Amino acid sequence: MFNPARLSLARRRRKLTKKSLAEALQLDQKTIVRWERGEVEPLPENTRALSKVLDFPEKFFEGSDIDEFLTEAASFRSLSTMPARDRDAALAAGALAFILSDWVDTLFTLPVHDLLDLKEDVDPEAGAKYLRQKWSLGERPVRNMVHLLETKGVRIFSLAENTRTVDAFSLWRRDIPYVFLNTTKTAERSRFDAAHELGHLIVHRHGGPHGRVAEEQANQFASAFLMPEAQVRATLPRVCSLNEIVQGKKFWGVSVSALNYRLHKLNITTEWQYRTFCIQIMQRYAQSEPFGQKRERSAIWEKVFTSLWSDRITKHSIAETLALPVAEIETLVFGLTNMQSIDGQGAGGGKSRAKLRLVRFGD
Amino acid sequence: MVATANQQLLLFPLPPSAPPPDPDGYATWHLCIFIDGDDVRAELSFMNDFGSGSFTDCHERIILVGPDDWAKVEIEDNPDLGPEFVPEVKRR
Repeated sequence: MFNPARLSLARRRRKLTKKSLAEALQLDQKTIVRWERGEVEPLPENTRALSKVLDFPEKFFEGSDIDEFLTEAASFRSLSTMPARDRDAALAAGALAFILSDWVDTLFTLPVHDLLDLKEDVDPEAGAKYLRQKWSLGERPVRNMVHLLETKGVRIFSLAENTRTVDAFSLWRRDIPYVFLNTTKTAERSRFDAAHELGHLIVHRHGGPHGRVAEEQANQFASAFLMPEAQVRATLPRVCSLNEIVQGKKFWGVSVSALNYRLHKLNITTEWQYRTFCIQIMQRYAQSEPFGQKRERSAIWEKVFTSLWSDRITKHSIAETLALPVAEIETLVFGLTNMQSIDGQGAGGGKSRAKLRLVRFGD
Repeated sequence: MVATANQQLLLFPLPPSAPPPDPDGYATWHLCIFIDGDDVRAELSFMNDFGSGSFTDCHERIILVGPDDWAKVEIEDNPDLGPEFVPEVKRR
């Protein structure tokens, strides 16, 4: 049976308005409205056309309802300046991730979350310190944010939203914390985004401020978590040149700008120094991050897909089971399905079928 | 040249400085730099009074490079990154 909610989701995922979808199908916009309201069910040929235009399998439109969240339930960075279609497309990707996540849960046991529950109004800096203590991290740099969060029960999915405004978002669903990272940003930016979303999950789980205040609090949390005050003061007690900040950014695995900001917030640099370094960063590193580090990827999805592959379950069979486009699954799991793919489609180095040749030895 | 750090001034503070001269709406600040090998200091001074070839009082001083500030900060190339976290995944 046709599910109108799934049509709406697929349309939003493709950033189409009802009008533009109607135009692509050469239909009246009212027809799309009626389909999405469930007033009229599309004919089989309509469903085929929808499948083609939206690039979703026909079976997708017949599935059960999908968990979708309101914009307010997710923490977006620059929500006020974010075009609604970008936000909706990212949220739709999140809904597709839930389908995959729920299916994986039927086959695997994944870590249960071990996050703090800050019910009281706790300062983000203090919250970051508590969490470091709880996780026995001390003051040392975080080796790999994605692996750390996954070990602590956070489900991390990747987004490939080629927009400036979608950095990352996070939400709680059935007592499982989810983080979605846009992997089109730099590796350092993604690490900071992961820490930022961790801040939202912990500091704003039970409500609290929204908008700019919440974003600033999440940034404070991320700064304090990735660059603990005591270690920053001990390592960089003073800063005379931008080169020292560049050395420091390698140490903590953050961007030059993030460390520059942290140093100023800790009053290690003056307002004047901070502004000078900002200008120098713009002049020297506007195009690329110096000493860019390797992008962090999910360890959980790698293990899951390796295990599935050993049972000859490929990304294509998963996509067919879940009635999802293969590309959507690849995008959500850091492209890790390519590693285990027998056809090796996509960017990763896929495994290829062994090529056997008959060799005739000389008589 | 740097003003002598006279600790006695803490016990016997100087009387309040005269209001800064402002005949034309301008004030003169001096950038003072001291270099002696690795000992480098710098400050921006809004001077008030001079005596015996040195300035003896100032309205305001902004220390740019204080004692021991010049020494190069060494950051480890291979810091102790702490434990490697490996999430556990079990097949049901």
